[in-house]
Amino acid sequence: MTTATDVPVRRRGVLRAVLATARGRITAGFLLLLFACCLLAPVIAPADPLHQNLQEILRTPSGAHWLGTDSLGRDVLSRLLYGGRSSIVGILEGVAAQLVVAVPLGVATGYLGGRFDRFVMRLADIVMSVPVIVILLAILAIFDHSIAAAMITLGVLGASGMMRIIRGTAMTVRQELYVSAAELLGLSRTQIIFRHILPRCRGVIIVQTSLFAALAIGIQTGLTFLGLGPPPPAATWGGMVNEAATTLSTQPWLLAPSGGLIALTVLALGVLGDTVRDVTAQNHTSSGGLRVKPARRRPDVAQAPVPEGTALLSVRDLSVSFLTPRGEVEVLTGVGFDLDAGQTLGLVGESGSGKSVTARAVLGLLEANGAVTGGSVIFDGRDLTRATRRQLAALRGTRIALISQEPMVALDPSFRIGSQLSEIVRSHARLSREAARRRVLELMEMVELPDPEEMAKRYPFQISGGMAQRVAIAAALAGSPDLLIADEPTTALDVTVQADVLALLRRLQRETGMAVLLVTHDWGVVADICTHVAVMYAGQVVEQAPVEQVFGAPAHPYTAALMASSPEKAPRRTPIDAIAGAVPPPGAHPDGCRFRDRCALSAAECADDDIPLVRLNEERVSRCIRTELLQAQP
Amino acid sequence: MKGTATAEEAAELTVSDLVVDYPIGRRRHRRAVDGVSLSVPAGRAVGLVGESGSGKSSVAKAVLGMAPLSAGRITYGTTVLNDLRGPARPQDIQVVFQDPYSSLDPTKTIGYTLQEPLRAHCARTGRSLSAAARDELVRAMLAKVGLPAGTAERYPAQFSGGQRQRISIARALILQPRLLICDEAVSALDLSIQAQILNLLLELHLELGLSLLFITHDLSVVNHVAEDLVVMFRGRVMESGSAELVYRQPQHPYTRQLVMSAPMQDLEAQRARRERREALALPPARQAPLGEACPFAHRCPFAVDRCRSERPLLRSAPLGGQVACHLAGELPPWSDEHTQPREATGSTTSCP
Repeated sequence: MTTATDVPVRRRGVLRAVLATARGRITAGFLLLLFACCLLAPVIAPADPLHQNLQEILRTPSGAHWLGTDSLGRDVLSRLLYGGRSSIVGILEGVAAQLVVAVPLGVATGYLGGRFDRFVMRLADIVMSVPVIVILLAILAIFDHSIAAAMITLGVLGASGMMRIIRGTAMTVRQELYVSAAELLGLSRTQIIFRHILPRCRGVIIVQTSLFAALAIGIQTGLTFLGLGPPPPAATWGGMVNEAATTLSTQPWLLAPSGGLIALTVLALGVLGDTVRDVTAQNHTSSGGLRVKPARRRPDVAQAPVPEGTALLSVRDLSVSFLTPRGEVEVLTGVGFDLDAGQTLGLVGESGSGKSVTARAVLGLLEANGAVTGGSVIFDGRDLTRATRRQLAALRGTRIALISQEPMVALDPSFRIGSQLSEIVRSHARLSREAARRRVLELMEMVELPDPEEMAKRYPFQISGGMAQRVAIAAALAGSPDLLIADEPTTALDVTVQADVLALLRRLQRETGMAVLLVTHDWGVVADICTHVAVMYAGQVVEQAPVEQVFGAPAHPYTAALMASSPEKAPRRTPIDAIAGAVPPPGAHPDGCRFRDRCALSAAECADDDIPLVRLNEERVSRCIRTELLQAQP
Repeated sequence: MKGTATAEEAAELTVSDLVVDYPIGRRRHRRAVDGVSLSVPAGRAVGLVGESGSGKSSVAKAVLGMAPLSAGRITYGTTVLNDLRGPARPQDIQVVFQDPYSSLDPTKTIGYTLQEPLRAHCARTGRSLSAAARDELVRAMLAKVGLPAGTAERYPAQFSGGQRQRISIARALILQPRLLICDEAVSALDLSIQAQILNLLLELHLELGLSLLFITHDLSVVNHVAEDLVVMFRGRVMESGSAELVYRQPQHPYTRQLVMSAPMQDLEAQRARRERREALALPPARQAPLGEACPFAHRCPFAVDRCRSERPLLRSAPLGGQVACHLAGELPPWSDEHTQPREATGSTTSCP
């Protein structure tokens, strides 16, 4: 159990999570207080809402009348509280009507789909096209100014919108594999709906309800303002606004209590809805949502020594930290390696080892919450960690290019392949349209795309993943780079396509002499194309050497263990030599050797200090102090 | 249930002449599975291997009642599964999916997720099982898949991909199924975690006699686990037979290409594999439309005219197993770098 937190934390309920935020507490508290006060109006109201006192009309707030009096001398506070009762009852009726219609229909249409779904949705379309206000006026006329009837009608008519949103959520949840698993385990549809679909819809239901409540208040106030609700002298919020409007010129204050309270209530409902949405959105992720904030910008790093080597790319002591909800976490610690022209360095490791972060850091493409906190990336004699954004931008694409795991993501689906490549070509060199077109075709031929002329006219979604990776490679080659960074370039491809793409990379490298930094988790890919390997574990390079030496005899226990955990290495249908446990997450690395908890060779001294890189020969280093034991093993 | 259930006999899963069409738009459809037959005898591990679009996952979905069947017949023992849905299906067949994240309900504790099938099962069979007994079963199952007992109170978000996959396996096993379908169950996992899960599945298979239908694109994984192999390409079976034979002596040009394309974790062997592959490589070509032709004809280095006009049927192959190739038996012999190591070819440096 290395990745789960050690104290069993129960997932917080939505309500508690909402109350944990300041705006949640304020809005919920306000609404609750309002609700309680209105409910208790007969007890706490300072005066009878209908009691007139013509001697004291249109007063501003005073000790006797906290919110003043209206044009008939009635106490405004009392009238607000009594008026609030009918408003709240109205909202509850509307919300209840909407929930009763929208939730069952939304969940059922979303989960069941099919003919039932189509029928209900057409019905909803019709309801949505009906002008609500006309219906409401008719209802009020028929039911003798009954606000309850109007609110229930509004709830039912408004349900089609909420139903659509619930249906959308239910459709997404239906695709989840755990719903399929539940079906296979013999749960009935009803059980699945109540146990798996509905709980996931809870968030949208709460949000929609609070938004609808805000809308209902507005509509109800509007209706009572127009005198369509209970006739005077009954207290209603809309009626009070109406009264205040008639005396606006003589006593503007009168508008403040009623108008202000309505505005505050609507605002509180809206903010509460937003808070619930934010909380439910992050509730199911372990990180609780990533705050995007730069970690400390590389502080005064001691002036790095002038590059001594002649390597094209020389990474020295590179450290990278990310700011997470749990604080700043070091993801890379003192990573270093060299890469020369014509070489292919495989950066090998499991997820969490930091191999992709290393590749991104070289390009200066860390995410917004990450930063280089130490070390240097010397490319062709220049330290890229000190380069400005503009200098980096000038290098990317021309001297250093990147291909990623998802070629489709690198291509814009709304433009033809030819025009995308042409744009890249023309950004590197001032070429005429025709010259650019020729260069594009040349590039496409270079990456062995069949029928380039025709292929150039296609859109990215019209080609296969393997073809898309070839296009991405063509784009990377457009600037004739000296260094190609390939981040898991073949992981998403089928093996036969992977073999083609690797063959292509090998040929291109032979022809152009570029250096390749290849991030991969696949030893087979390393064996196929790499000249050198840097094995990474928990944010450190643990071994670096030419491939022949690594495959011949691994010099770090992790390298050996990782190689042995391939099914290729075990006799068929016998247990594989798996490494127990898992890679410790950043921030939870053990002291001393980071692999010692999982290592068969670990001894007491492995825990003592940070393990240095031990130089084994001119080209080989290993971060292990017991490496000779490993070499001694058969 | 442990101790209480009548020991149900494991049965054979048989898929015959399966056709699966997915509708695209109103009238058109895409044929994902085109006449596939295979069987998983009781207690046996069968590997179904193919690349993306080969239809391997559609076969799994059809067996699980999650895909539309246009034709064919799927039986488990004497039960015809074709039209069975929901609780009517035998719970003897369970599945572990590829995606460990979408496989668990994020709003439920692991304990709830594992108990739910037990409760549903009890409700269906009218048997009662106390809460304590359920807890005990869940704890035993978690221990069996190598997770600590405290797991039951936690939520999925607190677990890594490998741990979630263990939980998915525990859920699949809680009703003591006889056949486990693993649909790319280890493909999303890191190498060291993949090894742990493979060991677990193999142990369950060997110790409990669980039948496995192991679906993957990774030849080395499937070769490690499976006794029989079925190779699919574009919805059709290209070759089938014992895993040993299909992997060591592939008789279909497609299987050969698949084996040659999988990079090996060994410099010499991979070099040899690559050279052999490059010697046979054809320039990339557009896929020919399916129909009365071999689906592999456009990429096959041995294709003749007949391959483009007549669909090869699966027939007994010269070395054993079955192969769907007109030229089976006439192809150049396959020499395998595992069993016949090539002579060392000087320096192993592969770069200029």
